[in-house]
Amino acid sequence: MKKGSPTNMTAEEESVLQPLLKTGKGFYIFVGVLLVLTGWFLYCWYTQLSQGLIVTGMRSIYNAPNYMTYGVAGGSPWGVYVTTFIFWIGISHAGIAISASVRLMNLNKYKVVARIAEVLTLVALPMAGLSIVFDVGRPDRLFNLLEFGRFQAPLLWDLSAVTTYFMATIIYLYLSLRGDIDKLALRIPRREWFYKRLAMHYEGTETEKERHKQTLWWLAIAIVPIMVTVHSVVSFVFGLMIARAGWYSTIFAIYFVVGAIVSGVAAVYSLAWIFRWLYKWQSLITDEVLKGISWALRNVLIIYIYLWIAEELTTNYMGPSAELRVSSFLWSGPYAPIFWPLAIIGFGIPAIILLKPVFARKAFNPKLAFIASIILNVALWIKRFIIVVPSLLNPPLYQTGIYIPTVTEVSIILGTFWMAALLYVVFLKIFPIIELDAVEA
Amino acid sequence: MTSVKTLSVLLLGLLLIVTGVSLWVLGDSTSVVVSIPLASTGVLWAPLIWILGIIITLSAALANTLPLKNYLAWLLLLVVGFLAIFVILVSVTSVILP
Repeated sequence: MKKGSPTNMTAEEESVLQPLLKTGKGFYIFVGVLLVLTGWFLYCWYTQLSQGLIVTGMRSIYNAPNYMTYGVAGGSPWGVYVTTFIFWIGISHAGIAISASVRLMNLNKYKVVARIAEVLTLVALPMAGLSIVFDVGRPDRLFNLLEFGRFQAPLLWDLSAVTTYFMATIIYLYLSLRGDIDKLALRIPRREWFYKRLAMHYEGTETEKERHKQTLWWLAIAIVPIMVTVHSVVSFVFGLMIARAGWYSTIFAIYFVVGAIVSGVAAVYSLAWIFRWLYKWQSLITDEVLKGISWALRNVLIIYIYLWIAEELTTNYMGPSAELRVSSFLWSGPYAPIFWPLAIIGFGIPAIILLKPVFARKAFNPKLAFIASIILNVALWIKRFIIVVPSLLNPPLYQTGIYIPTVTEVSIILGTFWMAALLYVVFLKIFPIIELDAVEA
Repeated sequence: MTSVKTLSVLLLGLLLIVTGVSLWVLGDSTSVVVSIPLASTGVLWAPLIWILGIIITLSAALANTLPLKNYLAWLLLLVVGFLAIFVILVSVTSVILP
């Protein structure tokens, strides 16, 4: 038998490397569909660039002529694009955070989901950046950020924080992957040339392994505060604006950070469940691992609901008139049909599903928890929408506006999901999504 | 040797961060920046210096684990990659925008 051929692998390794070794018809169909949808997204973005933001619903189309209303009289210059930006930043949050926590707290049991989470961060951050690019009318002036950016502007803090997080993620992922890449050169001989070069002279000696372990540990220590900074800074884009009712709040940073952890952990749970189901990894991603993630999700969800209630109570109990206007817009106004189902179905039902095992000790059901995680991610996108839009639709000096996203806008934001899925699939075909060390352990 | 390399990279990164932030703050709040040669060109680029500092600081993790040649290749990739995002977006949108 040829040394290093795929047949030299252990059964566990072969199982983990399934996505790299086998490509079924379903894969091509899935990628084909994603490519078509991405093509549609590119066409829509081209339309927006060539015709301007007039193709979006961000101006108030009902109250006054367009030239008067855009951004000042009841329109919503931040619509689904900025909502999606916060959503992707949130998703990216848990990725490296979970991986860093696993490393720092020696939670070896969860090492099997560490890379699933890391890659999620890697694909989510560019989508967050793109969402902002969609929102600006003149992306050809992006260099102005680097040339003339003002340090007082939270948007520039965002650029710095997101760049830091993205770079840290790339470096962290590469260093955690390097050992696996070296092994892949042996396991998959037809790709040896590629993996050997990517491993960059990795020899796998004990000293080298120890050095990687130590470096990753220090990087993990740096990443945790970076992660908190990123979402806090996103919240400052809103929370520091005194002129907008509904945003100016001291609770916003922690509110955003916890919300991000909820959406990130929910996304990791969803992906872990999907991979387990798709590749029959029940012995790798065990019920116990999923249960642990769902418990973490439940705990942060409870904190998030608590913060939400605290925010609503503070606003509505003797709140300033402008705050009350935004609040009534949500509670009993045009956004009530979004607000109440969001609270009850979007957060209430997942909370009940995730809390159930507390009262009935053997009641953990991975599939139900998966449904809860999906509902939570949809709910958190909508939650960000009702944070961003109602405050803009109720400006202090002008009449209330209306915001209805156009097909172009929706197609563009959906495009970020198709591209994220494509990037994830590409990664899945090149690198193992579960650390080989975790399997051996 | 590796420790010296890592430390040098860390120091260089931190120096760039401090320089960038200083230029950034001074340039925005006082006229002191006029006397700094970089600013006398009329283009500040202070945020870029600060962000490059961040990238180099983080790359200390790579300097600690990779041979020098590979480390430099990675650093180049990170910096060029970061700038390429801007160049590509600006170029493509400039062509399409009316």
